[in-house]
Amino acid sequence: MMRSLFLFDMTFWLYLAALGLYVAYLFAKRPAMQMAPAGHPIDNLEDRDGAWATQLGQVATLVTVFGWVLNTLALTTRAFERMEHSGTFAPWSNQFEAMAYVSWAIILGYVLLEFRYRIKAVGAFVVGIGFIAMGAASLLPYRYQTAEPLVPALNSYWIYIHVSVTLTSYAAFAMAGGLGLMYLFKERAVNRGIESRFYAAFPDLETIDELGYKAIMLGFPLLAFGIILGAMWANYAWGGYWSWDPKETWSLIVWLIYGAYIHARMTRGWEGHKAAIYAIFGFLMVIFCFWGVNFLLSGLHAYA
Amino acid sequence: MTDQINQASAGTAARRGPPRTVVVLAAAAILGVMFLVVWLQSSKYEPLVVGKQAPDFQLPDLNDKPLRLSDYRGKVVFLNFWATWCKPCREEMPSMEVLYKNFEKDGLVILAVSIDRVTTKKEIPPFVKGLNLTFPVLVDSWGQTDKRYKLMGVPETYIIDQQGVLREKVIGPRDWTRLDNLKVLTQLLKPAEKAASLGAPPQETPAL
Amino acid sequence: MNDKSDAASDVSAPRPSTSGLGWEEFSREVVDFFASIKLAMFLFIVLAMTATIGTVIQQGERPETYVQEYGEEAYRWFLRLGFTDVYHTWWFTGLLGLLCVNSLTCFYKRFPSVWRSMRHDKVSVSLSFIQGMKQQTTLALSQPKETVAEGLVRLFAEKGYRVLAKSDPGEVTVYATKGIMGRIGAHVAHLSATVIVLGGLLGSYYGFQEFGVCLEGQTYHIPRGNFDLRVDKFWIDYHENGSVKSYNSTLTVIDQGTPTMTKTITVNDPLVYKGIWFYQSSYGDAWDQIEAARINIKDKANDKILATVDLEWNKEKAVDGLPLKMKMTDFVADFAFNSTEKKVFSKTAEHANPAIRLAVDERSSVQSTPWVFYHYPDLFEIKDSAYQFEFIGYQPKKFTGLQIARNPGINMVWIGCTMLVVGMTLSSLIYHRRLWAKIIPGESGVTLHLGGTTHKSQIDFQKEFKKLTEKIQAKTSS
Repeated sequence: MMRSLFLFDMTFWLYLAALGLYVAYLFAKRPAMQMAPAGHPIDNLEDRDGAWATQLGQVATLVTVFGWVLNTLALTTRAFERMEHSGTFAPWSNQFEAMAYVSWAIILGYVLLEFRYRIKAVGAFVVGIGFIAMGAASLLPYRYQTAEPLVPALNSYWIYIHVSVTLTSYAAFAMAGGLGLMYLFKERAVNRGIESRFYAAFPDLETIDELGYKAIMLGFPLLAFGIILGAMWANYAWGGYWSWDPKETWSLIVWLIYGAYIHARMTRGWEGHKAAIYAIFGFLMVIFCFWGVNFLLSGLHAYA
Repeated sequence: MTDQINQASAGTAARRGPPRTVVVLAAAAILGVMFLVVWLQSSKYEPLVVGKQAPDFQLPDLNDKPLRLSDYRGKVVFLNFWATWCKPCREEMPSMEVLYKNFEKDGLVILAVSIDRVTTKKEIPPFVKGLNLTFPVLVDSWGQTDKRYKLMGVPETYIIDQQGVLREKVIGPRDWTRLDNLKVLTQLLKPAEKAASLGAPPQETPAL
Repeated sequence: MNDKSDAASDVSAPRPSTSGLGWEEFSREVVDFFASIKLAMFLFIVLAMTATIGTVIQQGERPETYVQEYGEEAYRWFLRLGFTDVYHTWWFTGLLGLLCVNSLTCFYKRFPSVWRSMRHDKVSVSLSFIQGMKQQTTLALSQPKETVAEGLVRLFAEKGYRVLAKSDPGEVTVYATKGIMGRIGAHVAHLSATVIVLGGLLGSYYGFQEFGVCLEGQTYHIPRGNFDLRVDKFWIDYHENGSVKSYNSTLTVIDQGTPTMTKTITVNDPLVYKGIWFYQSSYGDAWDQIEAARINIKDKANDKILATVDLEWNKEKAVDGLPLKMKMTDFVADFAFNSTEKKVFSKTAEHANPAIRLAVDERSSVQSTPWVFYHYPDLFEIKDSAYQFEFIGYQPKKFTGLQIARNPGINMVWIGCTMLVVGMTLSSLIYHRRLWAKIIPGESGVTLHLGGTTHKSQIDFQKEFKKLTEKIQAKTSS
């Protein structure tokens, strides 16, 4: 278990470095001072970067990728360690591993997003959340970090699908939350007419908004699938597919909240500012569902 | 409109080359630094087993006076981790008080570290008063000792000898008035043992 | 972002000039209300909030618990509002029902236009229609209009579009559409809500859930299934570190006197017979039976222990060397005495005050049936007896806790869930986009007006449109 803890620690530090680099990227000198005007197509923001910014951005991306690779190694090592001791190997079997997995998924999602849309400014916000997730995980008491054998109820192949799918949806919602925050930052700058090189690296508001929407469009069906898989598991383990236990109910609450978001987007006036606030609120609900329920509410489902 | 698009594509094609060597080296350097940072601390992952030096710490007691574990070198330290919400801890404490009263003069000190967080911290003074405990009670509301001692729960007791080396690790509660639970303690407290405790294998001594 | 394309095709029938009751208007308003997105949003939020209540206030507890925690007044309000069993109140079920009505009316209102969109394509459009689109471009090409048209058809088809071309005097219009499944997906997802809710209600009303405490070796009758269940064996497996790895029961179903099925169940692996599911739910120490008890027999006169015997449950044993025959007949884990009925019972399931009842036969002359207590060895004295009995140890008998349930609505729920997942996935991944191209011949070649709309995902479509435009230019310049 030492090996995986070592690798998780390295992941934490690398994500911290990546975050620092992305923030430095935002503050770096760039020649073009104007911000992306509204409605402007998603041209290459990299054209707007100077030499410093470009290099910082590239180092940031590379360090993020390194961090992700280490995160993968850490989870794989943990899987092997579990297999040795207890015969199951899902490296998301306790609170700590689940957080590390969510970090992994957030960073993976970010790397894919960056490779597709080439907007490094998003890094500060999304990698930031990935880093916070990993940080929170390392602050957990020692007994939540160990690879102890699982209780009988968790000893099932269902843990491989139900938990991973649900956690991946949390990662998607986390990304949307980060993008929502980014939207508010940019909006403030636009409204106050602030023109600094910091905001010059940001894409236009519509792009940020739509990226956030896409993240939720990914998380929403994943969460539905995750909840349904959970119901199927409960049907084999607990005598019924739905028992209104706090965790089940809170996942449903989160799903309903994002369901309202999806429908709100079709109504005029709900894009942009309101959507950004909503995405942040939804993410806070996800955090409660993920953490709060385990530690604050009791029930069948309180596995930490 | 088309021209703009053409220009933009041409510009980016030039920029999107492979990252320069400087960039790769910088990233690799960061990777190396982080490896070092973690590797230099890697001893903290090792399990705490009998024979290792007990990790030092500094915590406030009930009068907010800071106490360090290393202050007690030269005495046998009975380090007990507990919490106000832990029933077995409550059941165990009176026997600890008896132990303390009987062996304090022989060089035993009991340090009871509470892992109560901010929310339950206030229960500590009434708990201690209610059981009439006289040994030092320390408060670790920030979890300083949690990772150092790799606590898996409460209560846990660590018997540390006069040189600060861990000699016994007890997971769970014990009746500390029963003689067969005190084997290691009594060995350490024997006056003859004090001189030879460094490196000498523990001998079978008759119960006190 | 807004459902513009839907609105465009929705303006179908002109409003009739009504007189009289205005029923048409009224029914349209009603449909609009129930199909509205605002209602959907409202229902989602209200359901979310009410569901929260059930997680904050413990559900299904005894009245005393609520009074203790919240006070009498609050508890009365809880009862009035149904907060102690939120998820089964009439109003919560009503909200779910409203959600079904909402999704069904939405389907009724919007699906026909999607269906029409699939079957009738709007190929003929005006130039201003194309030029008014968000994604549009005008290109001057040197090739004749037929070549350009053919080229476009091939390009769009390659990209997976369904293409239609129309030749008018003086111009050619090419129409391409792709990804209507995304919109169908949303409607399937909406329908699934009703299916799931119906399945849930079916299960609630016609299903059951019970808990059975079962002992090894016993056979239990299951009235709802009209068969018997025998517990052959129960055991616990442990990990290396001492924690529980699994607990298992071997069960045999006996139907009309013949054993029909044997299965070892464990958590996550139940037994199913005749639609009734038996789950390994828990285990514990029985509170009315034990495997064996250890008794010290002491001489009453000098308090010396004469013998120690182990008694098995309900088995008489003759003590070596003493004129005694003993049998253990009863056990309670937490001794309590009901003075009105003059009966001994176990106050709780906790082994707080264990006691056994012995049937003692001394020299065939003194018969006594004393209760002997684990925590209180010298409590009672047996008159006329030369001995004192001490209950010093026992081996508890484990019971296996089985959850017995049947849910007739479950298959419906699974069908609904599949519909939901499929529908949502289609809706998320596939977006409906359409392209229109007008090729107008000029003096030296043609002018191509290309425009496109998308139901969702603007930036992706933007990129796609840009790529298409580039491809068209590349092809024609070669």
